[in-house]
Amino acid sequence: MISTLTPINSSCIKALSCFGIFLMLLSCVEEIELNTKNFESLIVIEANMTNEVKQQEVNISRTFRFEEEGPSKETNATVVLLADGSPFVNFVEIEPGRYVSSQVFAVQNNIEYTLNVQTQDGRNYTSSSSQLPETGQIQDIAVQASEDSFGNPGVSILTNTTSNAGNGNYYKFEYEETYKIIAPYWRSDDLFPIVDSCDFTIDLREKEERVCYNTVKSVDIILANTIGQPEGQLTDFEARFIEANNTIIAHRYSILLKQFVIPEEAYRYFEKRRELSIQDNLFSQAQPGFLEGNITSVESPNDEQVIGIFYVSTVNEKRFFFNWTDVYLDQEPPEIPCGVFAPALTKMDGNCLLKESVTANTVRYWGENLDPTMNEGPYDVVTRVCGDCTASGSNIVPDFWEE
Amino acid sequence: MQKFTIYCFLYFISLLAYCQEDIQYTFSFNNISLKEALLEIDSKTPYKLFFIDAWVEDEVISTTVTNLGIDAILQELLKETSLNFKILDDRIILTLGSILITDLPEKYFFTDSIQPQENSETQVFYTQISTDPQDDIETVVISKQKETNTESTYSLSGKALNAKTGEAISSLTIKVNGTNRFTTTDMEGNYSIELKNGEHVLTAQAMGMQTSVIRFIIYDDGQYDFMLNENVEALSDVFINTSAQANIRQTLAGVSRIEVEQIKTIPLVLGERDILKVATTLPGISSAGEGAIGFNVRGGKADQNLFLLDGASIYNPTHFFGIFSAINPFTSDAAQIYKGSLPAKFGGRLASVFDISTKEASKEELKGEVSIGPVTGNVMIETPVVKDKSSLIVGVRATYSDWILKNLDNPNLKDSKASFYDVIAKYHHNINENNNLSITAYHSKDVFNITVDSVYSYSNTMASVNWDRKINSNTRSNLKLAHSRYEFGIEFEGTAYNNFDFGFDLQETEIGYGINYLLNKKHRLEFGVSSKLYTINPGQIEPLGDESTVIPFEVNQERGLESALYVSDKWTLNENLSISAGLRFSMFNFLGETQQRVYGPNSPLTEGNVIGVDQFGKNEIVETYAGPEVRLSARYLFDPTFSIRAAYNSTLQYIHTLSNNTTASPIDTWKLSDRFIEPQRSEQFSLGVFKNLDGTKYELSLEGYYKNLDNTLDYKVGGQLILNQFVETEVLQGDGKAYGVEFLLKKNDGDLTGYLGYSFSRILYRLDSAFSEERVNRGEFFPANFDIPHELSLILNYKLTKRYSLSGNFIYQSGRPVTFPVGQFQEGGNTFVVFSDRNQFRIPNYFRVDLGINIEGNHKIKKFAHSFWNISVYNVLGRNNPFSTFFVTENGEVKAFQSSIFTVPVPTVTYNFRF
Repeated sequence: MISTLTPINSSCIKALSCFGIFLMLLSCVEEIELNTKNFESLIVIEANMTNEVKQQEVNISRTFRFEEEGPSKETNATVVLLADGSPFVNFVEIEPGRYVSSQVFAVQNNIEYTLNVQTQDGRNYTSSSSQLPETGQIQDIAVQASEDSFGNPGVSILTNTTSNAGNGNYYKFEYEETYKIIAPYWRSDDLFPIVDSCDFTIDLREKEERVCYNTVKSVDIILANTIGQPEGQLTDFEARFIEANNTIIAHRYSILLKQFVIPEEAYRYFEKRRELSIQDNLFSQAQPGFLEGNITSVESPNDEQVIGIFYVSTVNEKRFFFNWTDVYLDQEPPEIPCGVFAPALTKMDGNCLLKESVTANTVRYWGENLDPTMNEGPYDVVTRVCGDCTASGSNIVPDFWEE
Repeated sequence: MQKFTIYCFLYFISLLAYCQEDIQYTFSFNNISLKEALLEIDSKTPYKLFFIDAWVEDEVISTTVTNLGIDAILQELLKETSLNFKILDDRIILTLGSILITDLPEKYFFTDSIQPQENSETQVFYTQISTDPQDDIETVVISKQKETNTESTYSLSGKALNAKTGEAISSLTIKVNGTNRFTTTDMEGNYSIELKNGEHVLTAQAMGMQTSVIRFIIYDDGQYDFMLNENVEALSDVFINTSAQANIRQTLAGVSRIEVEQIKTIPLVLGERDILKVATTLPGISSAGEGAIGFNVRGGKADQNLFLLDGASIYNPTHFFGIFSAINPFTSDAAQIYKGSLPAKFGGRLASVFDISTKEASKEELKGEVSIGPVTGNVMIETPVVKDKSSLIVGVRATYSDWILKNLDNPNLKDSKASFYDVIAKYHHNINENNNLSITAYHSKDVFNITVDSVYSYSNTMASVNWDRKINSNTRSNLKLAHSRYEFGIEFEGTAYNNFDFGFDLQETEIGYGINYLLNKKHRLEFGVSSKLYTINPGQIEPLGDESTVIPFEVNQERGLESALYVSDKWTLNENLSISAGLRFSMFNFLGETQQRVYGPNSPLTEGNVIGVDQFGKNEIVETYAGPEVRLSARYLFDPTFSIRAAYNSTLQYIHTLSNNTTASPIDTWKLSDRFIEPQRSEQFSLGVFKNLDGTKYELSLEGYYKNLDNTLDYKVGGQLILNQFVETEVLQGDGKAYGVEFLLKKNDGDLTGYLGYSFSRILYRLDSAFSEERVNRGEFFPANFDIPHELSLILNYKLTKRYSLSGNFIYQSGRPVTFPVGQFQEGGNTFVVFSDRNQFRIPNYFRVDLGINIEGNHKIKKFAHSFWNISVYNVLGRNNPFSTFFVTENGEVKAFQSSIFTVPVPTVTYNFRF
């Protein structure tokens, strides 16, 4: 039943948007800079083993400062999965912080799995045990025009799922979305610099730059549950909302929706993690704090904070395609904002100007500038993303792609 | 002869024996005015006569006196008049005495008073006869004309009465100046004091009344009724009385009183006169920030305050996230705030009682008050129902913000809602001399949305009936019946399939009977019994619309019965020492029908550790908690201007809010103590010294306290508290300690009035457990979210003329504690923050200045309405005071935000008129 509650929490977002006339004018939310104070390096362990036969994966990293770009990886750790208390499989590090099982396997029913990690400095971490929950099936996926909680128009990708669980399930969804990109200002030829000159020849492009595909993995925590629902079905669950002005749905869009049935412990963890990461109501801030998972330090269980959760899950996935026109018959799709401009060939100091941009691969040819003004050159160009789809995707058609 | 025609002079009679030389005179008056006759005597004898023209102008005399002493001549002249006279040396003073004499009982007293004005003549006269020269003091002589008294001490007794209403004034202090002797009036306003014969200056004072200083010249037992005027002059100047009684004298520690009429000049945001906002400027009462609902009293949580409106609880006395209070300022009379000693008749909350009373409407005439501000309009009407018998007061306040929003061009705002209203009515009926009945009904409602798809609303509803009965002259009783309800709801209408309607509802019904019995002069007993039934529907959700797939769900109803017996004695050991000793025994039963889980022994309360479920039938007792609550306080008076008070108080609380927000919110649910959630407990030790200077012109107080808290509630990080049938899995119970020192300096008189309050206070919690998930900050003490160590308020009003005054507030607070990110990490491809220990950091300090100008309409008596303008600017400096900080993961990136509520100066004009 708790799934229906989600809006209570998540709709508290953007308190400012419309809270009374005067408050709106008087109150203010401003972004502040985050500086790292009292930094402590903590270990972060992520491990989700599924009932899919594959090399299962464990990621280990450490917390990092706000001034740093990304996490430092925990390398050279010893990672062991235990089944009913006995070592079952070892993991090997294939890239820094990323460990995969030395053999392929699928998690089995009625076995208690535990994860043990020993870092290279000899500290040991162990998880509580996790058992495979029931399975669930994505029955279908659909798309429909809708609005988000702020009234912005867009599309909802909805799913119906079934389950064999009598008592309902806890779900976590992840997805990979792939969308077609068509460069709006593409033409078959382009500018090629002439050596020792600021001018160009015009020639056919060497590779496909009109139609591309891009694939993005979900990062948001998407949860649902059917606890207390006798049929254990999720009906019209919104797995993804995309605003109508987002160009990823301008042409054709595909989503590979992965549904994990996860243990309650993991569900609670992710639910709280999400709760702690969404924006608050202007007037009441959720009490933040350390969120404990199910992994503890063996040496100092009371003092060392460990981030992360180990769990086993059943997985089921389904792919779905739709076109802009399937949703919006009469509405033009959104476009990447593009402008045409004609930079001079040379700068005031005599150095090449347009050539710099062409060499840096930031513009594409769009035509002759027949009537240049004083500061303009002979070629109309557009920014690369407008004339070359590989700026935002790959020109290789994915295997799964269906037109 | 100018000196004889003074308009106003001080009347004085002395029985100091003074033998006149027996000179004899002869006068013949033929049809002349008494005045002329007297002037003639004045000119032809060595005596100077003092009188007021008006007394003697209309009398016409025709008489002849031959060879008589001055004494006899005057007796002859005045025999037909109401005038009396006295001869003092060579001065003869005429008085309008006999009118008073005829009114006297068997032991007559002789009293009259004429305020001297600045007339040098009278003052010269006065100082000549006074042994203790003081200006501007009324003199009363209590004597017999038979000059035969020889006793050395006499008894002066009488009543203290409100000159306007005739009501008795209790607890009036009457002090003999220059000595440590004083007395006080009892509940009926009676007093009695022994005085040596001769001259004494007595000062009578009670808060809210003009202090009266009177010189008595006493030569016999006598009676004198102090007729005191309400402190009209101070009405707009003195904002807050420490107590209705003199702040020095009361026995209870840590009590403040706010009179609504006296706070109108304090500039407040958007011009709303607000009794509770003003309360937060007093030391010991604070709020966690501009957008925080609730009040923190001496380190207490927001849910530890009991708000009583005419005896019935109000669960959320605020509108608009605490920016306004839901107590109509025009219908309210006063708020008595108990933050230290709680009288034994109150209970159920740990930290404080805000006892707010509604005005009793005029039984004589129709009256009203209207206020128009930028956000709200407010109308109050008082009317007699049966003249002199019963009356009704009705107050209605509502916002017009919805109307403003609707008329905006901005489409985003058009659908927005932000409105509130409150309505109150009180009917008062004098059944007869000994029985009074009052009925109050109240409703308030807020509706607002934060996002377009969700509408939040909450409301308070209450009704109370109070029957006050005077059983005999020493015994009064009160029977109270009260019902109150708090509800909130969320309607979500986004995408059709998950639209829902969520509701929470709490009701309590209370019956109480109390007796106030004056056993003798030393003991005043109060005892009674009360019982309160709670019914809570902790949450229910229903689908909204046909397409919604939301499955209806309801958390089981909770019921509980809180009952209490109490007895207290206010024991006056002697003039200096008084003790208030109270004992309250409270008991709470959590009642079925319900189911309660059984968790494995020695394991945390988690889903995984459930080993069974117990079922309880309707009204079956699930759990019982009970305990004594001790309410003890004592006062020692060193002299009438200086006292010391000490108190010990213990309290129990059986109902708690569930909130995992850092500040209280209107959608916090309430939860009764059950099998797992034990009642919260508190004990407080306090000590204070109180001093008045220059009469009651300055009041000084310094109070300190220390509190122990037990079973305080807290919640696991990110805990699901709404629609959770087994909320015990998310609840943590810990202990806490609070301590502080509060200083208050008030100036009650003069052109500049106001007060300066400072408090140092700390509140620390500890959440420790054998299980790491139930520990916060490693089980060490940490500051609570509303731990504000330093708080300084300066509230001033400067009267420019009778009509214009300037006022200003200066508020400073230490920043409240916050939990800050100390690093970040990646999980599932997303970046999140790691938080510091709870409340390890603080938001910046809060500072605000508000200024206002108050313009009273002119005071023409015949004018239909009395108007009052208030022009104020809230946060004049435009200081951006951060209220909260929060951290958001957006597109895999962590962002930090800081929110402030009022970031710019907020000007307001409020117009108010009274008829």
